This record gives sequence, structure tokens and C-alpha cells, in this order.
Amino acid sequence: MPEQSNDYRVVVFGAGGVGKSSLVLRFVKGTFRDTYIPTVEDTYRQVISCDKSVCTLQITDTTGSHQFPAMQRLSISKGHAFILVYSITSKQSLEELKPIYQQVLAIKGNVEAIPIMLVGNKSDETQREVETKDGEAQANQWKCAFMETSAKTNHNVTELFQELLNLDKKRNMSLNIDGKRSGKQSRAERLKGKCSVM
Amino acid sequence: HHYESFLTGACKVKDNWLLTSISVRLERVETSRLTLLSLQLHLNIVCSVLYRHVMNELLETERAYVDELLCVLEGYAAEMDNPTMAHLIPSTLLSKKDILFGNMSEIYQFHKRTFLKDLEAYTDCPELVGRCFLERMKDLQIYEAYCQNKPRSESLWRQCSDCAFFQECQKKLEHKLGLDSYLLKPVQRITKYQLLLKELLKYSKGCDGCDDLQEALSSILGILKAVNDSMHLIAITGYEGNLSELGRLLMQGSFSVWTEHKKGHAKVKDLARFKPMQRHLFLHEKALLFCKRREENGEGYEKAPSYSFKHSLSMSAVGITENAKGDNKKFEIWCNSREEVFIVQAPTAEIKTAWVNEIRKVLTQQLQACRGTIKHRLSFLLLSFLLHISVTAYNHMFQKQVSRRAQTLFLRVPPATTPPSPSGWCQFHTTHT
Repeated sequence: MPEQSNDYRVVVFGAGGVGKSSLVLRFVKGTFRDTYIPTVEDTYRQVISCDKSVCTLQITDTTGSHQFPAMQRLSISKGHAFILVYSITSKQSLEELKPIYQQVLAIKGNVEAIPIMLVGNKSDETQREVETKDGEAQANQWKCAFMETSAKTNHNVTELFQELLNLDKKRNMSLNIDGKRSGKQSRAERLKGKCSVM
Repeated sequence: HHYESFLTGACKVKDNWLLTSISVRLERVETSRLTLLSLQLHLNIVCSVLYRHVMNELLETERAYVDELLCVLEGYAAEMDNPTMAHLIPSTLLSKKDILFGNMSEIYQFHKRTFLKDLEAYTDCPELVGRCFLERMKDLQIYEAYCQNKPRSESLWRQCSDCAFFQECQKKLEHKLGLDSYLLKPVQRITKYQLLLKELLKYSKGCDGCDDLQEALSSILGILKAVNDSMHLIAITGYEGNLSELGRLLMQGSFSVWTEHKKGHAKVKDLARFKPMQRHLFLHEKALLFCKRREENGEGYEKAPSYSFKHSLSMSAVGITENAKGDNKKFEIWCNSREEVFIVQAPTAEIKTAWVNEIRKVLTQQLQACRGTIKHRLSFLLLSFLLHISVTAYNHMFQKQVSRRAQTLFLRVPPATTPPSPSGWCQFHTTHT
């Protein structure tokens, strides 16, 4: 298992163009750029609360190593939690997550103890190729959580990261530094129908 | 150009008052054409602006990368030799600098002295930046060594990541992220170039450097594939020889393999027919290795597969049958005139084609190298032969005898001492069904 430290590392996977960088940028900086998104940082960092103290959430972008499993492996072994992103406008992008999931499974062993979130991004788009129920079915099969997001309209972005932290039962983590899981109840209400945690 | 000539043409027509009505109609067309033209122009501008953005990102991230590597080398690697820090270094870490940092300093020197300068030289003609990559492809192979070492480095890091030495270094550097994030940078950097090249390509359709960019992209993808493949090599166990003597690793992958031995017992042969073995194959320039994949029992990090060595075929002694009957995912590799046949089934037809192409390339290169040496030998022989004639052919009556001598000379060509041995190309044949 990864060492217990002050860092909580989240690794984001997904094919090119599904909006990984947009999601992370939206979450970390609160911005969205329609035209050109520079992938400047390799690792983004955000202070969160964990077990009543402060720790850093590290988000590692893996964009370039897609298709190169042995190199991807180096990122997987570093991660505590995983976000697998596809675009709802591309069936192919969901397909491409399958080998990545298999690899996470192979390296981490028991996935049920590892927080994994399957994310269908670009939920604002109308040219849908992957229905919500297809995403849910896939998540069901993988025994992981599922959510649809839009980095563009900021739909479910913060929720995605908070839910991911909630999935980790070994620690008590929150995006709010004061340590309270504020609004968890109402968020859960809001997420009904959009998010299913299995 | 089309638009321009059309416009000048349209202007001429307008000057002629006799053709006013046509001109009016043309003007309408012209307006829509003009809209198109301005749209086209607009698109070109947007593309070049975006291209500049990507070029900027390439340059800025390259500078940042060089700085970060320097930070690590000075703030961590050099500190390991600092006597005032010595008491903080745990025994597990002592004299293991090379394992922890791999060839990072070589990578740093290359980027600092060469690649960054090369890239900067293209600031004024960014459309040609693809060439910069093409010129440095060989140098970028240094990443193979870095990535190969990375798992060892990681396991060392896990043993001592909490030690006071690293904490002290990180504090001095005022780094928010730990050393492990920086040790991953080279892996992230080498995989990032292809993304940037793809972006550049998107905005350079039909431009000057377009072909170079395309070529640079496929070359860098080739490098990544080689790095990825080479990382599997370190997991091979039980191979007695030296892997580095087998030439470059060209392909690796998992297959179902059946074997046939002509001399073997019929029973064994039949059994082998039905039950394939799962084998991980490593194709090198000089040999093909058959390994058995073993999942380690470790937890988490340690759960890396290993490949225990089973069998090796010298590429100078094999032949290939590209299409095995009835299955487009199968091919055959054999040696000793098909006395020993390996039927190999790839997971997909595409993978099979890629392998067959690569094996064919190796065998063809051997054939050419062989022809080369033979040609060389022949020209040498011919020279001595001509000398021989000039000395001996004073009498036309002895002509027959001379040519007979020449024949025996040819027959006495010694076997090639340099690899590849002739048996390889002699057996090289392909069947297409």
C-alpha cells in the first residue's frame, strides 16, 4: 500500500480530448477555457482536511502515457484514488478506459478498498454517444462509483472530488479545510439521479 | 490565389458598363465569396494564434522542466554528498544515488545544453519545430534507461521516503511537492511531447512544416513504444546470457503458443496441439525470447509481473510462415527446416500483422547484410581471380582450366564469420495463402 503521508494522491486517467485537464483546472482554479487548455502542470495541488488536520490533495495528470501501460504503471503505483474519465460524446473513450481499469486492478489488487470514480464528462453536450445508464452499468460491473460532469458548466466538478474523498473509508477527508463535511446531506440530495455510489 | 484571381476578374467585369447586369449578379456571388474569404482568413489567424500558444507552452514547459531537474540534482542528489547532511542519511540510502536518480543528470545535460537551445532557435519559425525533434530522436533514447530504472528507484524511495534527509532537502528547496513527484517528471515530460506535437499538427494543416511535424510525431511515438517495451525487459528472470547482447528490443507482448517437434513423440505432439501455452515474447534484433509471465504474490507496489525465461531462438536460424491456416491471428516461427515449429497466436489480427512485419524486417536486414558481406567477398575474390587470369591466361588453350579453377575458388568461399549466419536467410521464406 502507498505510505501514509500528508499527501493524498489522485491519478486522473482517460483518452486524449475527454477533458481531464479541463476538469482538474476547473476544480483547482475554477476556470474553463473553451479554446486552448495548456497542460502546464504535471501535478496539481490543493489543501484539504484529513482526519481533522490539513493535508494536500495531489492530482496527477497522466495524459501522455495513455497507450503506454508500462509507463502508466509508474503513475498507478503512486495513486491512492483514481478518476477514470470518458466523454459522453465518445463511446470509444469509454472503451479505452477498460485496459486502464484492468491495470489498476492488477496493480492494486482489491479494487473495492480503492476509491475509483468513473466519470462521464461533457454532460452539457447534446451529441451523446454514451447514455447515463451505460456509464452506470459499467461502474456497476467495475464496483466503482459513477458520475456525469461538465467542466464547461461546472456541473458536479467539486462534487466529483468530494465524493471521491468520501469513498476512502480509511480517512475522513473533506475539501473544506475546517474539517466539517458541510452540506454533505444536501449534496447527496442534489446528486440523486446523477451519482450512484456503489 | 483562386479568390484573388476571381476578385480581379470580377473587378474587370464591373468596369465594363455593358455587363452591368452580370456584374450585379456576380457581386452577390462575390459578397458570399468575400465572406468565405474573410472566414478563411479568420480561421488562419485563429490557427496561427493557437499554434503560437502551443509553441509557447512547449518552450515554457521545457524551461520549467530544465529548472526543476536542476533543483532536484542540486537540492537532493548533490546534498547526498554533503558532509553536513551525512548524519541524516539512512543506511538504506547510502551510496545508492544512482539507483534513486538514475541517469537524471544525463537527461538534464541534454535538455539544458542541447534541446532547449534547439527549441529556442525555432522561436522565429515555429512552423518548422518538427525538425528539431527529428534531429534529436537518437538523444531522446536516454529516457529508456531512466524509465527502466524507475521501478528500482521507486522501491528505494518507498523504503526511505519518510527520512529526515528528504524532509530537510524539501524544506530548503521550499518545494510543496515531495521528491517522488519530481522523479516522475522525466516520465511525464517524454510522454508530453507527443501531445504537444499533436496539438501543433492540428493547427498547421497544409503549412510548411506539416510533414516534419507528422514525422516527428510518429518518431516520438516510436520512442515511447521502445521505452515502454524496454520496461518489461527488466522483469525477465532466469536468462543466463546478457540481454544487452541481443540487440535492440523491437517488440514484446503476450501470446498463445503451440509447439510441434517432428522428432517428438506423437502423443506429446497431439497434447501440445490442443493446449496452448501462454507466453510473453520478446523480439530482439538477434533473438526471440519465450518467457512465462508470473504474477508476483506481493501486495500493492510489489505486485509487478515477472517473466521467467523459457526458450530462445536465434534470429539467424529461424524462418517464418506469415499465415497459418484458418486463423488470421496466427503465424509460425520455425527452425532447423521446420523440425521445431512454434505456432503463435496474437490477441488480435493487428498485433499479428505488426509482429510479422517486424520479424520480416529483421530477416530482410539479415539477408541484406549477408548479401553485403558476400558481395564484399566476391569482389575481393574477383580481383584475385583477375590477377590469377592475367598470370595464368597466357595461353588460350588453358582457358577451360582457368574457369574450372575459378569455380573451385567460388565453392571455397568460407562461411560468414560475422552474424548473421547464412542459415537464417536461406530458410527465410514466406507463404501467402
